[in-house]
Order: sequence, then C-alpha cells, then structure tokens
Amino acid sequence: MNRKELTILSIITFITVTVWIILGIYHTKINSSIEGIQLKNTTPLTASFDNDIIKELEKREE
Amino acid sequence: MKYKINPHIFSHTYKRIKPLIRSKKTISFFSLTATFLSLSFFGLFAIRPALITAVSLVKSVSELKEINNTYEAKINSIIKAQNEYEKIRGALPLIEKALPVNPSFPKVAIGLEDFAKKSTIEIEQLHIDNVSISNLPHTGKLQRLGYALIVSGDYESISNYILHLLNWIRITSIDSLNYSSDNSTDSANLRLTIKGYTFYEP
Repeated sequence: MNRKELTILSIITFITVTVWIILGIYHTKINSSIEGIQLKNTTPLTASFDNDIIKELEKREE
Repeated sequence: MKYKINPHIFSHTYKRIKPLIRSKKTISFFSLTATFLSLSFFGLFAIRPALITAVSLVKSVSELKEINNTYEAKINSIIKAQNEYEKIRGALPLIEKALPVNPSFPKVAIGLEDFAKKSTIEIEQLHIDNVSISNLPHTGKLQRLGYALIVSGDYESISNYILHLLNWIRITSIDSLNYSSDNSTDSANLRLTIKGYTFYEP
C-alpha cells in the first residue's frame, strides 16, 4: 500500500465517520424521548356536560 | 524477566525513515493521512457521543417543556371538569337510570308492566333477550338489550302505553309496532306487538 492509497483510505474513513455522526444526530432528533404513558396522560380532556340532556331526563317518567 | 531495549533500534529506524522525511510530498501525505485518521478517531470516540448527548438533551428539554404545558392545561381542564361534575352531581341517579352500567332486566320488565297498568292494557307476552347477569368489564360502548312484547287493549290505551314508553327515563328505542285486531273477543280491542331495545353501558 503506497502513500496515496493510504491517504485515500484515511479520507474514506473520515467521510464514513462524518456520515455516521450526522446520521446518529438525525436519529436522535427524530426519536422522541417521551414514553407512551406520558403521551397517554396528556390526551385532552373535555370538561363539559350536556345540561340539556339532564334537563330532558328530569322531565321523563320513571 | 527484564526486557532489554536494543540501543541501536532508534538509530536504525531513523536511518530507514530519513530518506522519506526528506521528501516534502511524503510529509504532506503523511500529515494529511494523520489528520484524517485522528479526526476519524476522535470523531468516533469523542465527538459523536458528545454531539448525540447534547442533541438528545436539547430535544428532551423542549419536549419536557411541551409536556409541562400540556399537563398544566390538563390540570386546568380537570379542575373545570370537577366544578362541572359538582353541578350535575344531583342528576347522576337520573343518568344511572337512563343508562345503567348493567342490563338491569328486572327493572325493564317492571317498567313495562307498570306502564301497562297505568295504561290499563294487558301484557300477553313479554320476552327479553338473554344477557349476562354478572358485572361486565368496562368497555365504554353502548350495549343493547332487546325486548318484545304483545299487549292488548283499546286504541287509546295502547297509544297511551306507547307514549309512556317513549317518555320512559330508561332510554328505549322501538324497532317495530304491529297492530292487529283481537279476534278472540267481540270487543274493539287491538293487539300490539312491540319490538324494541334499551341500552346499558358497562
């Protein structure tokens, strides 16, 4: 292996490592660190009751 | 065991690489190769883990801030829901009667009989679908409890009975009504076949 081949090999190694670093960062960015349970707990809650239905029920006979 | 270093090894090595060092081109290639290799080495073992840790921490901070805001919004909506719940607490038995958590088929039968008495009609047949009497696991889905009954009486009483059914607190839906004249007697009585269903939510 002469000096030119050695330099090319080192450049290829450097490019591979750089791409690996970039892919690693990208992977970290797109993957969420939040667990499923936390996401489940943050589902919105509707805090309203249909009072008209309750009034309608009050009018009905038992 | 002692390892003795040959004192001439360095001079031999120097003599061998001396011609190479003299060439500027070789030095350039060597420095370039050494630079890339060292960058690759540190990139692999130092820069990559540090960058990934930094990026994941920054991302976690932004995500946790977002979750914190969502939790605060949810806490507010829970407080609001609690206030709303207190307002309708008195009406909860009504909701339980309208939509019980179990089939409560005896109540269905009693209700149908009570309305028959009130409307002065006679129940000839009453059939209620098979249901499980054990407590069902919570599904949050409406379940149907079907029933079919044959009643007889005059037109006005039967109409009254249907009105009672439609105004019943136990929510019921009528699938079909089938009128026929009661041939067994000479009176103007009618025979009505009702098929319907009521609901429960386990």
